[in-house]
Amino acid sequence: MTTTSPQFVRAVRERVAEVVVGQDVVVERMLIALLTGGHLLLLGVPGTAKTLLVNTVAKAVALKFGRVQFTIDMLPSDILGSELLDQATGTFRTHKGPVFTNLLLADEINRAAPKVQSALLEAMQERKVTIGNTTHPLPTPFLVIATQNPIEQAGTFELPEAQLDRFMLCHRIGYPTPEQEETVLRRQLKMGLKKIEGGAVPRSAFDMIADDAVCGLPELVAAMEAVQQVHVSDVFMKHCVELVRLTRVNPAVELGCSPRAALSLVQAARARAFVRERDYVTPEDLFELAADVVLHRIRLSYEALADGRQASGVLEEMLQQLG
Amino acid sequence: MKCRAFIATMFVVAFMSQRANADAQGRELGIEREITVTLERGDYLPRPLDDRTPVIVRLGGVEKKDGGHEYRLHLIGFEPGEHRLADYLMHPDGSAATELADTTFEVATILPPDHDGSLTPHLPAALPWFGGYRIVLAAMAVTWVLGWIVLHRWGRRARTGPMETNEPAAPGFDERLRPYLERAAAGKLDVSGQAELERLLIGYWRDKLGIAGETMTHGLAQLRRHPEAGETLIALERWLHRPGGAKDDEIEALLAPYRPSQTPEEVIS
Repeated sequence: MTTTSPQFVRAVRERVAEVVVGQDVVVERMLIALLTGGHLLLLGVPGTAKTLLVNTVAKAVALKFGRVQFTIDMLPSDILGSELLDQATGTFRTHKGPVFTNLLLADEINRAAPKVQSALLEAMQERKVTIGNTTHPLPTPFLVIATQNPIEQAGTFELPEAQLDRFMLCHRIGYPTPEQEETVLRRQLKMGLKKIEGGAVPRSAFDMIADDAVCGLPELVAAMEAVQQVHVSDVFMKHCVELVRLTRVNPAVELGCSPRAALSLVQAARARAFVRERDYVTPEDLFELAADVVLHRIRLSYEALADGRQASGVLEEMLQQLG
Repeated sequence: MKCRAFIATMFVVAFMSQRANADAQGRELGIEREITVTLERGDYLPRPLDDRTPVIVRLGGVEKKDGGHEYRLHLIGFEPGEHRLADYLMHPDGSAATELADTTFEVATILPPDHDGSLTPHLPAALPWFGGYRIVLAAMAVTWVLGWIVLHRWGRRARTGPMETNEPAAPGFDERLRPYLERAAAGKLDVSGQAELERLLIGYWRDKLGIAGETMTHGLAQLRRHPEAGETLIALERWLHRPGGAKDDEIEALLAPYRPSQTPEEVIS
């Protein structure tokens, strides 16, 4: 195994652990997204440290970080940027939007109108943005981590399947365990106050994020290169293709996975193997990542929904067929 | 099939019965009918009648035919018996058509000639025959319900049929593994076969350890912790997934426990 893996992954994990309690799987998924350049969609109720996690990872790797809170009255130019008339010179100058960053947190992406979602998703796909008549490449690496609240659906615009497909992974964040939640409370008790210009406010977890990075862009690029060297066997690819095929022939599934799903499975499995300090992928990677890669790409049939079946249950059946 | 024939017969009987009743009632009194009469003159007109007339005569048309004139007359008789045509036609100048005194037509009645005109009380039969629409509707309703019962029973039998049949049980993991093990022993197992073999071995161990109901991720974690299953998984990974693969003797050692036991003859030889 390359020596980059333990250093890079451990350093980021340790830095995140200083601020966020638990959520190891989410951190792993974020690392997978970071190492493969794939985009990540996080589904979770408010207060599960989504923003904190992204912020911490971005600072740990010294990435340029941007956060956009999506609302219904947003315009595409609010994200991409626009051309402004400079009255002093009488010429137009380009104002680049928050999308010009390494790591963009699109908070509650389903609250924006479809044209805004489309604008962002085009940038995600093509990694370049056209403002006026000029096309601007986005910085590299460019990664979008979007969040959605799965419970509150009023005033939201559900992302269509074609756009969901652009996200390599869609991870469902759960609540922390009681022990983890207790640790969060103990940490909070020790935080104290932050004094600013004679006043004071209680410290939050965001104040605990260290400003210094544990590794920089060169280390990230080296890790990304190492991920590309992870061996993927022909047998593993057969498993991936078979799983994708099963989603297309299952009678409970109206819309199966696109070819992008198999590509995402292989790439994500490579990154997971790297994070787990292996230089080859195994079926375990496939089974662990299947839910995050497949579930947001399939749509159950009306009959299956009427029977009260859930996509996760149908996927588990397919995995059992596979195993 | 029998049911359909029964329903069809019932309709025919009901129809014939209705038709017979209609013919019997509509043949004579009060029912308009048409007669044709050939007369020499072609200018007869119907006589004006009062409301006590025993027959209403209407002239349908006159055509020349065979040296005479054929009159189509529409009659509605109110009194049975023989009537003279001269009483109902006249010349264009209004004079009586006395030359038609011998030309008659008859209005018949369904009552016998000696009937005194008294009404017969209606006494419904104890067991009415088919013919009333209520009977027909009731019979159709019964047939409809019976049909549903029959369909329901046949449908259930058809659905449960395959479960009741003695189909051979699905092959177990031993049987499904055998062809892949044989091909692996002969060195002829391709990538698809290797993938299938790996899936079957994972399924074999999940089945053997009774964790088939667990999710795949939890199941696989349990397999890794099991001494034999974990060893198999690691060996499979080394063979199928690690760069470089495994040596022949390692593959042989991995697959040997899953081969069917040798027969006594094979052991002796």
